[in-house]
Amino acid sequence: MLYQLWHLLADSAARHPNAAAIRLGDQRLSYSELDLLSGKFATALITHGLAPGDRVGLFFPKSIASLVTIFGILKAGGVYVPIDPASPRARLAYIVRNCGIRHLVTVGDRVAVVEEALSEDALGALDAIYAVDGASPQSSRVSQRVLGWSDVMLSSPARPHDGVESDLAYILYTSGSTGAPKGVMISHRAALTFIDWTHDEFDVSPRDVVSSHAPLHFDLSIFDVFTTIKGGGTIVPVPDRLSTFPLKLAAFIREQKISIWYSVPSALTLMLQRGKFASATYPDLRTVLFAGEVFPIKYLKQMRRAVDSRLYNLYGPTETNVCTYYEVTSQDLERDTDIPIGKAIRNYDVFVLNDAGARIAAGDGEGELFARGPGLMSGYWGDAEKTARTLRANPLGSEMPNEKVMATGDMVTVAADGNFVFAGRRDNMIKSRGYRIELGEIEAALYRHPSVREAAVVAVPDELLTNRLKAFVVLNDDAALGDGELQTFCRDYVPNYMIPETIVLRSELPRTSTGKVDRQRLSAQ
Amino acid sequence: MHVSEQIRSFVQKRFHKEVSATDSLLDSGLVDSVGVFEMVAFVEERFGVKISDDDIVPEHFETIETLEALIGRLRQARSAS
Repeated sequence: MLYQLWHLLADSAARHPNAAAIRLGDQRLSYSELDLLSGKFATALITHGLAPGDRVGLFFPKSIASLVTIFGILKAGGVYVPIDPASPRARLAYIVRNCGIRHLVTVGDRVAVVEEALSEDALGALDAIYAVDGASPQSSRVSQRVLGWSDVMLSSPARPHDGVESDLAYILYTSGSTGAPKGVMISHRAALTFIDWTHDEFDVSPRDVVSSHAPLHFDLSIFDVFTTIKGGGTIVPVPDRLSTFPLKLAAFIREQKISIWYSVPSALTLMLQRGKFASATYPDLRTVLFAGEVFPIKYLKQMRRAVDSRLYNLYGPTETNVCTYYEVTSQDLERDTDIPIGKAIRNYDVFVLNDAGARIAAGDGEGELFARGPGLMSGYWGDAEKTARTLRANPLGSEMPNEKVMATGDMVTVAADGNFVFAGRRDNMIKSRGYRIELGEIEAALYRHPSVREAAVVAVPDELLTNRLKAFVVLNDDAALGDGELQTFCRDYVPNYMIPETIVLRSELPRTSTGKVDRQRLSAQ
Repeated sequence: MHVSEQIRSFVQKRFHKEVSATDSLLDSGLVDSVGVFEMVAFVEERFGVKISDDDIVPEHFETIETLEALIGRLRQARSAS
């Protein structure tokens, strides 16, 4: 029985040691090589003080080293924490501090950035920084050693730590409504619930070549990395540059003979619109999975017509990974409304409750989607309050006193065929290009500016990106702003995709009868 | 204003970052897939050229310098026809 994520690698390495685990350009790592190198990294971590349960940050662009270090961390019994490589410094510093990270993996040319971002105390608290792209970099401020890859390679592979399935495997930070990102804690058991299902449902095998398009801090990557390794297939990381250019990305899928592709819908739409995706064939592409946002029916039909592959909509917040799915068929070409999010995956109980806490069936209108099962997160790191609001006692009652269910915050209706249909959010979380954005987090960033008295951010629906961001701001008396000043200011606190494109200055914001900002009115303006 | 100056001003306004003519626009994730198409729209409108989908590749959008070279080539082709 495989109950730790590194078991997936050990098991596949024993069965097909010489098969390619990772391929990138002309670089290649076999299963036995990945097993060996990750073992060495585990030793380096343990030698520098890593204890089981300790969190290890990853802060560098995705590469073969990312995968080696992830498995190394897991073998050492650590918890990997991937940090968006494009994070502004304040975000990096927040995550390192909040998560109690004492080991940080990065690359040589980012060591200085890390030093600048972290306070003296935070730097002092780090046991080690690992620069995975070369020899030991010299560092002026950091008193503890900064290890280069050549140092790591001198170790012998550690004997892996054999924990229990409820131990944490990774923590993914997502947008937080009050301004700080929140760390979603995922155990080995929760991750394996998703991995095992995808492996079986999509028949992942050693013949498969799976792209790794999603960044490692998005849970789509759990399929790309772990399901592929479980299946004995080959992971092909997509170079960032290629992702930016749809023409190149389409050619990549064809040339690399990708057999399974998983991404947000916008990546597919951009290839269809600007990458001549439909002009070519992809004989090896047998399955396309998409998740993270609504795939507008107009573009979904183009996708359905463009490839023979099986096509699936996967739905689920980071807190549950995927909990429902729907296969797109040629019958969907007749639709004019968006496809459903489908039905529960295996080993998941998914149900819909109205405001009174009663179960909703087909024709009963809208309700909030709830999920129950071993695939749920363990909670938000260091935030018992938010955890308690999201992981609740089962409103339908339960025989088991401590059983928790997850309130997703997504509103759905139930179709006659039992499929769940997405109907919107209950709160101020929106999606843009598949990115999860709490409007409150952007507002919190705006509020940090001394000239801002009040701010409200609304989503402007967009065909291609799902939503664009527009901010309405009231300045303090006598305050004045330079052109683009607020957006430049926001860059220090939130990632690029969260910076409002438009900032409208107002003397006051419209209010509802209860005194709250009337967002609906603002959205209409 | 010089072509490169106009592009640099656009980058500053749209992506809220100062870049030199040779700084990579792609490395830092400054310009992503949506950003590239916004740059294409800007260039086409400001300089009166048409950028074909085949020219929307990393080589041309790597730096302000490379983009300027592309614009130069397209302008020449336009006046030659």
